[in-house]
Amino acid sequence: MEQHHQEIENAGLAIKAIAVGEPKHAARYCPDLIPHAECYPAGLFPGKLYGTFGMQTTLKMLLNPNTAAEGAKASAEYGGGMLVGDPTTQPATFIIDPAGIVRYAYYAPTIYEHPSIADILKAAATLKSDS
Amino acid sequence: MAKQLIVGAPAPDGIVRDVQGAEVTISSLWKERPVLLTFLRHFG
Repeated sequence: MEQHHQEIENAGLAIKAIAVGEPKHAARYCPDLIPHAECYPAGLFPGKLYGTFGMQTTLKMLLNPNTAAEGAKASAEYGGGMLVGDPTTQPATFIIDPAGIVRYAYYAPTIYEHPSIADILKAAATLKSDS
Repeated sequence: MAKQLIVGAPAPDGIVRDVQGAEVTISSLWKERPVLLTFLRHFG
Protein backbone atom coordinates (compact mmCIF):
# COMPACT_ATOMS: atom_id res chain seq x y z
CA MET A 1 0.00 0.00 0.00
CA GLU A 2 2.86 2.32 0.82
CA GLN A 3 4.10 2.10 -2.76
CA HIS A 4 0.74 3.44 -3.96
CA HIS A 5 0.48 6.25 -1.42
CA GLN A 6 0.51 9.00 -4.04
CA GLU A 7 -2.37 7.46 -5.99
CA ILE A 8 -4.30 6.95 -2.77
CA GLU A 9 -3.75 10.53 -1.63
CA ASN A 10 -4.60 11.84 -5.11
CA ALA A 11 -7.86 9.93 -4.83
CA GLY A 12 -8.69 12.07 -1.79
CA LEU A 13 -7.91 9.62 0.98
CA ALA A 14 -5.75 10.21 4.03
CA ILE A 15 -3.77 7.10 4.94
CA LYS A 16 -3.88 6.09 8.59
CA ALA A 17 -2.64 2.91 10.20
CA ILE A 18 -3.53 1.24 13.47
CA ALA A 19 -1.12 -1.45 14.59
CA VAL A 20 -0.38 -3.78 17.44
CA GLY A 21 2.23 -2.18 19.65
CA GLU A 22 3.07 0.67 21.98
CA PRO A 23 3.87 4.27 21.03
CA LYS A 24 7.61 3.55 21.18
CA HIS A 25 7.16 0.82 18.56
CA ALA A 26 5.23 3.17 16.30
CA ALA A 27 7.87 5.86 16.68
CA ARG A 28 10.57 3.34 15.82
CA TYR A 29 8.98 1.51 12.92
CA CYS A 30 6.37 3.69 11.23
CA PRO A 31 8.84 6.00 9.49
CA ASP A 32 10.31 2.93 7.78
CA LEU A 33 7.22 0.80 7.28
CA ILE A 34 4.64 3.36 6.27
CA PRO A 35 6.24 6.82 6.10
CA HIS A 36 3.24 8.38 4.34
CA ALA A 37 0.68 7.23 6.89
CA GLU A 38 -0.20 8.51 10.33
CA CYS A 39 0.40 5.69 12.82
CA TYR A 40 -1.69 4.84 15.84
CA PRO A 41 -0.51 2.09 18.17
CA ALA A 42 -3.30 0.07 19.74
CA GLY A 43 -1.32 -1.56 22.53
CA LEU A 44 0.22 -5.00 22.70
CA PHE A 45 -3.10 -6.84 23.11
CA PRO A 46 -5.68 -5.04 20.98
CA GLY A 47 -7.91 -8.06 20.44
CA LYS A 48 -11.05 -6.32 21.66
CA LEU A 49 -10.52 -3.29 19.43
CA TYR A 50 -9.68 -5.40 16.40
CA GLY A 51 -12.72 -7.54 17.11
CA THR A 52 -14.90 -4.42 17.14
CA PHE A 53 -13.80 -3.84 13.56
CA GLY A 54 -14.63 -7.43 12.65
CA MET A 55 -11.16 -8.91 12.59
CA GLN A 56 -10.73 -12.41 13.82
CA THR A 57 -7.98 -13.40 16.20
CA THR A 58 -7.51 -17.08 15.70
CA LEU A 59 -4.86 -19.74 15.61
CA LYS A 60 -5.82 -20.25 11.97
CA MET A 61 -3.77 -17.15 11.16
CA LEU A 62 -0.82 -18.38 13.17
CA LEU A 63 -0.95 -21.87 11.71
CA ASN A 64 -1.14 -20.71 8.11
CA PRO A 65 1.90 -22.25 6.39
CA ASN A 66 2.88 -18.89 4.90
CA THR A 67 3.03 -17.11 8.26
CA ALA A 68 6.58 -18.01 9.30
CA ALA A 69 8.04 -17.54 5.83
CA GLU A 70 6.33 -14.21 5.26
CA GLY A 71 7.18 -13.06 8.79
CA ALA A 72 10.86 -13.75 8.21
CA LYS A 73 10.71 -11.96 4.86
CA ALA A 74 9.07 -8.90 6.41
CA SER A 75 11.52 -8.86 9.28
CA ALA A 76 14.47 -8.95 6.88
CA GLU A 77 12.88 -6.34 4.63
CA TYR A 78 12.34 -3.88 7.43
CA GLY A 79 15.67 -4.21 9.14
CA GLY A 80 15.27 -7.38 11.14
CA GLY A 81 14.86 -7.60 14.87
CA MET A 82 12.05 -8.97 16.96
CA LEU A 83 8.57 -8.55 15.65
CA VAL A 84 6.24 -6.65 17.96
CA GLY A 85 2.75 -7.86 17.38
CA ASP A 86 0.20 -10.59 17.42
CA PRO A 87 0.61 -13.27 14.75
CA THR A 88 -2.95 -14.44 15.31
CA THR A 89 -4.48 -11.11 14.33
CA GLN A 90 -6.12 -10.68 10.96
CA PRO A 91 -5.15 -7.54 9.03
CA ALA A 92 -7.90 -5.45 7.47
CA THR A 93 -8.31 -2.25 5.50
CA PHE A 94 -11.27 0.10 5.31
CA ILE A 95 -12.30 3.31 3.62
CA ILE A 96 -14.43 5.41 5.94
CA ASP A 97 -16.04 8.68 4.91
CA PRO A 98 -16.33 11.81 7.10
CA ALA A 99 -19.84 10.78 8.15
CA GLY A 100 -18.35 7.61 9.62
CA ILE A 101 -19.79 5.28 6.99
CA VAL A 102 -17.77 2.30 5.80
CA ARG A 103 -17.27 2.67 2.04
CA TYR A 104 -14.87 -0.22 1.52
CA ALA A 105 -13.91 -3.20 3.67
CA TYR A 106 -11.21 -5.78 3.09
CA TYR A 107 -10.34 -8.60 5.48
CA ALA A 108 -7.11 -10.37 4.60
CA PRO A 109 -7.64 -14.13 4.34
CA THR A 110 -4.03 -14.64 5.41
CA ILE A 111 -1.76 -12.35 7.36
CA TYR A 112 0.25 -10.96 4.47
CA GLU A 113 -2.37 -10.57 1.79
CA HIS A 114 -3.23 -7.02 0.86
CA PRO A 115 -6.19 -5.32 -0.76
CA SER A 116 -6.07 -4.53 -4.45
CA ILE A 117 -5.04 -0.96 -5.19
CA ALA A 118 -7.52 -1.00 -8.10
CA ASP A 119 -10.35 -1.83 -5.70
CA ILE A 120 -9.27 0.93 -3.31
CA LEU A 121 -9.13 3.53 -6.08
CA LYS A 122 -12.49 2.38 -7.42
CA ALA A 123 -14.06 2.81 -3.99
CA ALA A 124 -12.42 6.23 -3.63
CA ALA A 125 -13.79 7.29 -7.02
CA THR A 126 -17.29 6.24 -5.99
CA LEU A 127 -16.90 8.23 -2.80
CA LYS A 128 -15.83 11.31 -4.78
CA SER A 129 -18.75 11.02 -7.18
CA ASP A 130 -21.19 10.74 -4.26
CA SER A 131 -19.93 13.90 -2.58
CA MET B 1 -16.60 -14.83 15.92
CA ALA B 2 -16.17 -11.11 15.29
CA LYS B 3 -18.82 -9.57 13.09
CA GLN B 4 -17.28 -8.09 9.96
CA LEU B 5 -18.06 -4.52 8.96
CA ILE B 6 -20.38 -4.07 6.01
CA VAL B 7 -20.08 -1.41 3.33
CA GLY B 8 -22.74 1.23 3.97
CA ALA B 9 -22.86 0.63 7.72
CA PRO B 10 -21.53 3.02 10.38
CA ALA B 11 -17.97 2.36 11.48
CA PRO B 12 -17.43 1.50 15.12
CA ASP B 13 -15.31 3.63 17.41
CA GLY B 14 -12.57 2.98 19.89
CA ILE B 15 -9.46 4.41 21.46
CA VAL B 16 -5.88 4.16 20.24
CA ARG B 17 -2.83 6.27 21.00
CA ASP B 18 -0.67 8.54 18.93
CA VAL B 19 3.09 8.10 18.76
CA GLN B 20 3.45 10.44 21.75
CA GLY B 21 1.17 8.21 23.79
CA ALA B 22 -1.87 10.51 23.92
CA GLU B 23 -5.29 8.87 23.60
CA VAL B 24 -7.01 9.33 20.25
CA THR B 25 -10.63 8.53 19.46
CA ILE B 26 -10.65 6.51 16.26
CA SER B 27 -13.67 8.36 14.86
CA SER B 28 -11.62 11.56 14.92
CA LEU B 29 -9.40 10.06 12.22
CA TRP B 30 -12.03 10.50 9.50
CA LYS B 31 -13.68 13.74 10.63
CA GLU B 32 -11.74 15.97 8.25
CA ARG B 33 -11.59 13.82 5.11
CA PRO B 34 -12.13 10.22 4.03
CA VAL B 35 -9.50 7.81 5.29
CA LEU B 36 -7.93 4.64 4.14
CA LEU B 37 -7.65 2.98 7.53
CA THR B 38 -5.46 -0.06 7.66
CA PHE B 39 -5.02 -2.36 10.64
CA LEU B 40 -1.60 -3.96 10.88
CA ARG B 41 -0.65 -6.88 13.04
CA HIS B 42 2.79 -5.69 13.98
CA PHE B 43 5.47 -3.08 13.97
CA GLY B 44 8.97 -4.22 13.30
